[in-house]
Amino acid sequence: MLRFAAKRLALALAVAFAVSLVAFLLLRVSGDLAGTLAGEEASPEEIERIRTLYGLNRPLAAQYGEWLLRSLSGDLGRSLFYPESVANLILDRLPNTAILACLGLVIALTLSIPLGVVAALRRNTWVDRAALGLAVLGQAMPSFFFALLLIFFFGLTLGWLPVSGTESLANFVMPAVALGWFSTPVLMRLTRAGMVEVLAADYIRTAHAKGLPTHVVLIKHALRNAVAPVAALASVQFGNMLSGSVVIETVFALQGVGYLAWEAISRKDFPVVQGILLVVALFYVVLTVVSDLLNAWLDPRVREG
Amino acid sequence: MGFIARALVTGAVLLGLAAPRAWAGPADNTLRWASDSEPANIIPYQNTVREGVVMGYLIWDAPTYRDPATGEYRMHMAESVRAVDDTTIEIRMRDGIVAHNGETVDAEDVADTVNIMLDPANRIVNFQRITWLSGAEVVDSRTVRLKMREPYGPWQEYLTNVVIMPSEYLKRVGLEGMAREPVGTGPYRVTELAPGRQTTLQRFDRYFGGAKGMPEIERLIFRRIPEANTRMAELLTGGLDWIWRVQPDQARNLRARRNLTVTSSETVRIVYMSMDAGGRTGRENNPMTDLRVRRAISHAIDRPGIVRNLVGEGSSVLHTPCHPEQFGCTQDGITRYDHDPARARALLAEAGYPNGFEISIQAYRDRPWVEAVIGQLRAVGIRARLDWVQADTFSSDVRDGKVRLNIGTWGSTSLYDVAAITSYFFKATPNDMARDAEVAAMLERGDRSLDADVRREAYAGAIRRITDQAYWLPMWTFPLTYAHNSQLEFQPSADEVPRFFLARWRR
Repeated sequence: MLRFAAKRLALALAVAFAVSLVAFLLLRVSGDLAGTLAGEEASPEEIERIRTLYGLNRPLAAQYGEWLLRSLSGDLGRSLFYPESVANLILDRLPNTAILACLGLVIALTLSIPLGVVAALRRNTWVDRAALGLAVLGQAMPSFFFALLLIFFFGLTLGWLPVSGTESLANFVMPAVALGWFSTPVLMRLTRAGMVEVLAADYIRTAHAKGLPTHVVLIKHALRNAVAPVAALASVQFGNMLSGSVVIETVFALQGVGYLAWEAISRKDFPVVQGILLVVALFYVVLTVVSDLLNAWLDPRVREG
Repeated sequence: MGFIARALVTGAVLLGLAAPRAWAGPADNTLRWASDSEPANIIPYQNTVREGVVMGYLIWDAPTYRDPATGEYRMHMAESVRAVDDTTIEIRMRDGIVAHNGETVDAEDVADTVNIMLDPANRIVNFQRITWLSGAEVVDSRTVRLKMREPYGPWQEYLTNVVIMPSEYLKRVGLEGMAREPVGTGPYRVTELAPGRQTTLQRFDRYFGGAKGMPEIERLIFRRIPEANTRMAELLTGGLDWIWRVQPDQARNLRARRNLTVTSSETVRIVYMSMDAGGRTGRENNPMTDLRVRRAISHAIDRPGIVRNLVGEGSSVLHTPCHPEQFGCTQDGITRYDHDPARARALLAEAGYPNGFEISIQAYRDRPWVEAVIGQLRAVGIRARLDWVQADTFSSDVRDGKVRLNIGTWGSTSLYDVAAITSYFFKATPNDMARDAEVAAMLERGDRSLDADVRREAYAGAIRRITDQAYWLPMWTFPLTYAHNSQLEFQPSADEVPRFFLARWRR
C-alpha cells in the first residue's frame, strides 16, 4: 500500500510540473506579452521598454527556472496588473468559488442520486425515459444559455433572485443550480448503471429472501455499493467546480477563481494565469490521489494491479 | 400560479430570498453603473482601459480640462498656463486645492508627480500621459515648470491628461499603496476599492470645483459585469442605473421601456482600412502598391450602406485619417471615394487585375462589419480571406511589416489632436504602412511647431495627400450606445469618458 501511495504521489508531482511547464510555454507562444501589457495604443518604443522592464527579453528557460524556484518557496509572484501578490488574489477569490462548488455539488448529488435510483428501479418505463431525457438536455444545453434562462425567469420575470454579484447567499443560488445542473447527467447515469448492476446481484436476492424491508435492501445493500464509482466521479467533478466555472462566474459576475482566470487570460497577466493553473492542477492532483488511495484501500485488486 | 411556482415562492420566502433588495435610483442620490471591463490598477498612469480613464477623471485632476461641449481648454488646477519657450511650460497653480486626505496640493505635488511617474523604476504602463515630458521643477510654492523632451505641438491637449497626485501621501505609501488606497483631489473620493466586486466613490465635499464644477450625485458605485445580457438584466431589474456599449439589438429592446433612456452618440474612435502601399510585405505581386488598386478598393466599399444597416445610430461615414473634431483634421480639399463598384472594376482592370486577386485581410474586432466589407470586395472580384487575430497580434504584425490589408479601430487615447492618430500611423513609424516621406515630413513639421496655424497647414497637406493616394480608407466613426434610468440627467461626450460629476437625478 505504501509503495502504491508513493508511486501515485510521484506521478502527481510529475503531472503538476508538466502542467506548469506547458502553461508557461503556451502563454509565451500565445502572443506578444509586452505588446499586451503596453496596451492597444502604445508606441513601439513603449512596448520595448515594457519588454526590458519585465525581463521578457531574457531566455525562456531562465524565466521559467526563476518562476519555478520562487513557486516552490510559496511565492507565486506578483500580478502585472493588480497591485497584489498572485497568492493573495487567488486566496481572495477562492471562498466564492468554494461556496459555489460545494453548493453545485450538493445540487448535483441531490438531483442525480435519487433520479438514478428511480430510473434503475423503473427501468425502461416512462420514468427511466424522462430521467434519460433530463440527462441529455442537461448535457446538450450550453451552460451559459441555461444560466441566462435562469436569469430571465428568476431574476427578470419573477424578480426573486439577484441577477449578479456576491453580496449574499441568494446570489449563489442561480449560479450553483447552473453549475450543478451541468454535472447532474453524468452522475445520474452512473448511479443508474451501478444500481442496475447491483440489483441483479445474488446478494440482493438473498437480502430480499431474508425478508428485509425493500428500503433497507435498496439503501443499505444496493445503493451503498452502487455509489462507490459515483463518489470517485464526484470528486473529479468537485475538482472541476473548484477550478471555477469561467462561464458561470462570467455570466453571474461572480468573482471567483474561474473569473480571475478569465480576466488574467484576457489581459495576459501571466503570473496570475500560471499561479491559477498550478493551484488548479494541485486541486486535481490531490483529489485524484485521495480518490485513488480510497479505491485502493477499498479494493485490493486496484493496488495489486 | 401552478404548484411548482407556488413551491418556489414558498421556498424563496422561507430562505429569505424574496426580501426586498436595494433599488438603484434617485432616492439615495446614488448612481450604480457597470461596464464589461475594469482597471486592475486604478492609478491612471498604471492602466490603459477606458474605465480607468473614467475613474481618473472622477478621483484625480489635471492642471487643465478640455470642455467636451466646446472643445475649449479651461484652467482647472492651474490658474494660468503658458509656454515659456519651445520646450518649457509654466503652470501657476490655483490656491486652496485640498486632497481627499486633507493634504494641500500645490506646485511641489505637480513636480513630484511628473518626476515620480517618469522614473523608469516605477514601471508605469500608460506612457502617453507623461513621456512627452522629460521632467519638472518647482519655481515657487504655486509655480512649476514642466520640461518637454522636444518641442511638442499638441502639448495643450496632453496636459489635460497629466493627473496630479498628493505627493506627500504618494511618497509615503508608494505607487502600490496609492493603488490600494487611492487619494486624489477629484470630485469623488474612494471609500471602497474591491477590484472584481465593486468600487464605491463618495462625493468630496471639500472639492475645489474648478472647470469640472461641484458634483451633484452623492455616491457612485461601479461594478464590473462582463456579460452584456447580465448588465441589461441588472438595468431592467433596477440593480443598475447606467450601462454603456449596448449592442444595437439590445438597444432596440431597451427603447421600448418607458423608464429607460437609450442614447447613441458618436465617439472620437474611428474605423479604418489600411493598405500596404509602402510594399513592406514585398513589392512583387503586391497589388496594394498600385494606386489604382487602392482607389478601386475605396470605391468598392459601400460605407453609407454598412453604417445604415450594421453599425447603427451614432456613426457617420468618415473621409479623413482622423476624426473631424480633432485639431488639424481638415475636411477641405480632401479626396472622397463614393461607392462605385463599376469604377472599382474598371480601375482593377486598368491595373492589370481584370479578374481581381486573392488577399488576406486582418482584423480583430467587430466581425460583422469586416464580413460585410469582405462581401463587397468579392463583388468587384477581390477575394479577401479573413485573418482573425488578437489585438496585440494585429498591432505587432503591422509593426513587423507582415500586413497587406487590415481593418482596425483607433480611439486616439481620447486626444483631440491629429498628432494622436495621423502622425501615429503615417510619420515613418513602425505603424506606417504607407511610408510616404512627404507625408511624414509634413506631419513632423506639424507636431514640432507650437504655432496653431503652422500646425493646421502642415497637417492639412498631409491629410490631403493621404486621401489622394488612398493609403487608408477611413471607414466610419465608432458609435457608443448608453442606456440609463430616465430620471438621470446624463450627457454623453465623444471622448468616451462619461462625466458623472456633471450628471444629476431629476427629482
